[in-house]
Amino acid sequence: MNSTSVLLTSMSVQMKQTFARNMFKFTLFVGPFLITVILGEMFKHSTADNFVAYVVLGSGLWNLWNCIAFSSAGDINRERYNNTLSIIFSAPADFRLILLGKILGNTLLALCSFFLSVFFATVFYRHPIIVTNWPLLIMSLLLAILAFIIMSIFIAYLLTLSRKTAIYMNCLEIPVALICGFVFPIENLPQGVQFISWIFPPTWAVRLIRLSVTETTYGLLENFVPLIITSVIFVILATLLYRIIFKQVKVLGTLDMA
Amino acid sequence: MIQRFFSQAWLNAKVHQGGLNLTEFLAFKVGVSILTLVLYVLIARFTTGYVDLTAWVVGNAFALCVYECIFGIGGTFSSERFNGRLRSIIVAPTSKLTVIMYNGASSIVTGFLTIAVSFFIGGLLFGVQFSEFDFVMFALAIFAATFASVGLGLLLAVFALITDSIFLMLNALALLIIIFSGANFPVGQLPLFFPYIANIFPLYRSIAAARLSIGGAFSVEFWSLLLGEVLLGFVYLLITFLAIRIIERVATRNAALEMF
Repeated sequence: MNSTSVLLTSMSVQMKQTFARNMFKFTLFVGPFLITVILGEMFKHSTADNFVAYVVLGSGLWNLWNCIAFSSAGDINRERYNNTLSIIFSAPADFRLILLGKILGNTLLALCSFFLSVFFATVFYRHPIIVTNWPLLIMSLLLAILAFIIMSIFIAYLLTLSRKTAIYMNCLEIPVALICGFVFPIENLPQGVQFISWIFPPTWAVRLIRLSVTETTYGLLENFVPLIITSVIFVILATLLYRIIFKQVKVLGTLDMA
Repeated sequence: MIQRFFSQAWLNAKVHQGGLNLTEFLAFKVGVSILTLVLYVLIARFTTGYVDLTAWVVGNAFALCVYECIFGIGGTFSSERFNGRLRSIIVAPTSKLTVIMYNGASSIVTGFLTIAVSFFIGGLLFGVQFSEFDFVMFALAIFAATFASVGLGLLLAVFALITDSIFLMLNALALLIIIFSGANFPVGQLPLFFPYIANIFPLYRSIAAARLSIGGAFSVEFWSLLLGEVLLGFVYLLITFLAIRIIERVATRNAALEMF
């Protein structure tokens, strides 16, 4: 089996399995509506001026992250519960490709939640979507998705060695939404916390997305360069992490009992 | 009987919390609760521009008990099924309500503490003037909120006997409670008949009562809100009692416990 075929098969199986789960259907269809209502109502009489940037795109990004993070972290737990984690880890097909296929499959499905959030926010709150720079919006959305995928891979590797995955995955949603400034600018956070925000690629991707719906493109490069740098750092960290995990799994032989 | 109840409740608490060491408990239970409060209060500060965020700190501290009371208790039979104990529990002569109660006992305590600790830490972070609070009123409001939330959690737990999608229901209801609680925005601004729906959900009255404890004194409004919340909790308990009898009978007769 070549790499492309491993990736596509993993994606396809993942999408079928994920869509069969009722909980994922909640994350995909019900969650976006309810989170959009909370944000929409909070912003209804707001003094903040950009409804599109913070409610329409903010709730979309929040839901997109929820879907990708919950399912990607939960998949490791499910594989362990089904006693298939050690099988896919030791299979001739590269574990990294199988995991990437799973995350890509989840991401494709999760895009529905993003577009649903945008749809709900636009229809229910009747705010016209004014985008000043469509190419920038599309490019920054793609970069945001890439940033989420990189973060998910890193988290999925981290959770491979723990049996407490279910606890940890519930801790992914809020801290990332808060620190990366999905629904308000990170300048609202204390200075010390802003330094932590800068480490994560989604922070820069979110800022780029916001630039595309504002009048100015000032700061384009200032956000684009850190996004690329932090993404590369996370890819390097994920690669190193995989090597450490691979070595540990081979030495201890306790993947299913970790 | 009482001793068995508490020993089972303690055993269950250890099952749910025992997997975590102290650092993990503080980071993933307390830490995430505080971050959730901080997120919503910061959104409120950004959207309103207000400096005094006391109302949001109070509201969101109360909203946090949803996670303990609804998920902790609501998932009782679902986790029993997952652990393969559901059949034994159903055919045992023990009252099923007692089973849910001892499963939920730790959630009641944790729910109460979650509100108190989150309010205190959130208050320190956002400069809440604690001296303005009447803490007896505030504690009564916490009690009422926890009681009503636990009541709803018990009711939801029963539904796990007839559906495998209980966590879908729990997640949806948790967000609906947050919407209708008035923790983040006035429920009255919702369109059409939606503001009236808030009356059938927990927290709506207790959050309003807790906000009255800021610089306030015991008033008719406070007591009516508090009694309304406690009454709602009793209504949930009554429905749970009836529902468990019907659902248990249906599940036993159809032998459909794990097949729905």
